[in-house]
Amino acid sequence: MKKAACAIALIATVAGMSAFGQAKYAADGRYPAKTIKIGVETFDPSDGGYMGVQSYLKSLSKGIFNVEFIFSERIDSAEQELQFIENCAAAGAKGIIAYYNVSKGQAVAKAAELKMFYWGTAEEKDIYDQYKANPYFLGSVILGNGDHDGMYGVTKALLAEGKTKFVYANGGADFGITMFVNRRLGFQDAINEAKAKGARITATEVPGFPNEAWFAAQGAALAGDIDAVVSSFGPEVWIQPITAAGKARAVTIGSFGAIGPSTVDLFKGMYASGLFSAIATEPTERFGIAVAMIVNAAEGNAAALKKNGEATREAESLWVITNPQDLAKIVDFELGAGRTAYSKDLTKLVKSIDPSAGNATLLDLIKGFSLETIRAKK
Amino acid sequence: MEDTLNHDEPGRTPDGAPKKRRRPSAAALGELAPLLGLLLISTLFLVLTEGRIFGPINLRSLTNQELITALVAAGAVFVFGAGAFDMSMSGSLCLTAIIGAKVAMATGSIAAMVVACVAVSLLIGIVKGLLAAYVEVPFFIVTIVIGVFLGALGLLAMGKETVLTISALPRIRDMTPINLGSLASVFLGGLVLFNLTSLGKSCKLVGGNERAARQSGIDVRRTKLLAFLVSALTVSIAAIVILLRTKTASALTGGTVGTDIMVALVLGGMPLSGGPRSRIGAALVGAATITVLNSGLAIMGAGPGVIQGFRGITFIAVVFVASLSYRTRLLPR
Repeated sequence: MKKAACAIALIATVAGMSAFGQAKYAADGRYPAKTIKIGVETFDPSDGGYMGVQSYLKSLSKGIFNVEFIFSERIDSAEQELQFIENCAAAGAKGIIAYYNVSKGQAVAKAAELKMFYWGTAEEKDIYDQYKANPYFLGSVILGNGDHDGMYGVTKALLAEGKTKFVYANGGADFGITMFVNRRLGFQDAINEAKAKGARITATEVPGFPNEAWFAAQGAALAGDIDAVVSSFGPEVWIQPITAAGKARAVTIGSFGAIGPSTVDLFKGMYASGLFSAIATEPTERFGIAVAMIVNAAEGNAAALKKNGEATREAESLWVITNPQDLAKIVDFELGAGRTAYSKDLTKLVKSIDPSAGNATLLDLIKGFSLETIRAKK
Repeated sequence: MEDTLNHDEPGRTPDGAPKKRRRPSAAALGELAPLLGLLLISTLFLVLTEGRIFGPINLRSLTNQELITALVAAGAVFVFGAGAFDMSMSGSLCLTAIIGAKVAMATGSIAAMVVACVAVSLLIGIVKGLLAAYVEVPFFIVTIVIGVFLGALGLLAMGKETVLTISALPRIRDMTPINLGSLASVFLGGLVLFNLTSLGKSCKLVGGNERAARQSGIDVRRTKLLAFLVSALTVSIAAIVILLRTKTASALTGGTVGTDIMVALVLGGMPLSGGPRSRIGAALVGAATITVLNSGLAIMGAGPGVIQGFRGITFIAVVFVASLSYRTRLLPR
């Protein structure tokens, strides 16, 4: 009798413990059991780079993490940004991923005030220093001076091909949008370097974003004597006009852009035809790290990933792809098994899943999406 | 002696013909449409968001979000009421905020920032008012040009900076007292000015029929100038609130205000052509409607496309119902 009772108690305890362990996961295997809402803020929802990030985040929410994203509309002022953060708080969000920031520290302070974890903005050193000890500020994986370096790298690639007559699409630089201002600086630095070495370079700017006036300016630029187009946003709006102008063999494009299912064939074709030379693209994987860090923080374990109790500010370069071989490697990673494996590894950042999660784990994952690491993969 | 007094017989006109009955339900519905629209949307989102939209956290954020549109729209009632179609509100707000921010950064003084905002905004208002009063060109074209010009001035004022951050300003955790105070004072002042003073009445008459107003002895030019000054004052208050709340200014500050106030006024039941149907309350009701709509959809996690679509449908519905009240009685100009 006593033995039977002990056996029953033992079985019940083991079953209870398993049930408790399984209760951390949702029924479909995603983690955690209870959905976590995360707000994602952007400047332009139609931007190619942002759409790539959005697609990646949605794939994470379907397969790995039980998260629901609240994507912002176009945000182009501080008031709209704070409004979005407040709306996310009202919706029950636990964190904000700042793909964009306009009100600087005010956004971080507002998120912290509303008890939401803020991931982003660590590239702004003064903001980082001000909030690094704030428990609600997670920091971010920064791209160094990614906007500047990306446009610089793309322009250098075109200069290396012997291009000397440039058209530069400056996006929002004239509106004072930091990202585009930095990209223009990158372009100008590369051009000025070449000029300092004696090269005779001409550069015409096409300001703003595609609208009627912009297309008129684009037409006027293409009608001139040019051999290269550098674009601070996606290259798609240049392909057909260049071809229609009969300059497909003479003009090469370099730009920022996003590698994804809808663009990979386009880029492969353009590299093969010689119309395209270089693309600077943002590794979307750093936003996977953002999701994992917010999930971890929402469970009260934010400190586990911090170094010296301070928010994250680790740098990794964006991908500047200047040849078809690198493009093939990146495409294999982004659209193949590489990203899937990387995404599963993100759970190592959640202490409730992996008790050994720490700052070292974070650094390993950051290195895991570098161009050098991807190139080295077979 | 023949009784020459006009005793109206119920149901008959003075000459004995039967009176046509007015349709009170359509007219009343049209008058109440904006308020009904606000109540309907509020109730809908109260249910859909399980009460979160009017929870304590979000109520504070609703006042934050509604405030700028409501403040600028309250002043715009005078301008639009007087028949002037002003497309340069965003530019005015942006330049005012930028100059105010630069003064605050240079002096570290909130008082100096307030003075700068008021001075710049009034100067812009005077220029617009004089142009409206003396330039014989369709005014909305003039304001489009002014808006672009003000935006360019703002960029020049920004210089190499992309965002002006005013570190000298203290961070105000709870803007609610400032929000409610400024909203209440602007609307109470606006109500008195628009409904009980000669300025307000003149605005409505000028907006209704400028020639008739002039022939009635109203100084049309003076009325327009004063209307723009009132509008400029509310723009300056909005700029000050933005700077206190965000502690930043950029070339994109107040970027959508111009469109938002027009939508707010229409949703609030005021025709953008102005005239006697202009009302201050339209600014408050319309701004509240937009704010509740935006907030509710955002809380529900609706994507940008859904939010835009919903806004469009609401706009069309409210405008259609509101137009029932004046469509059949619109006097030709």
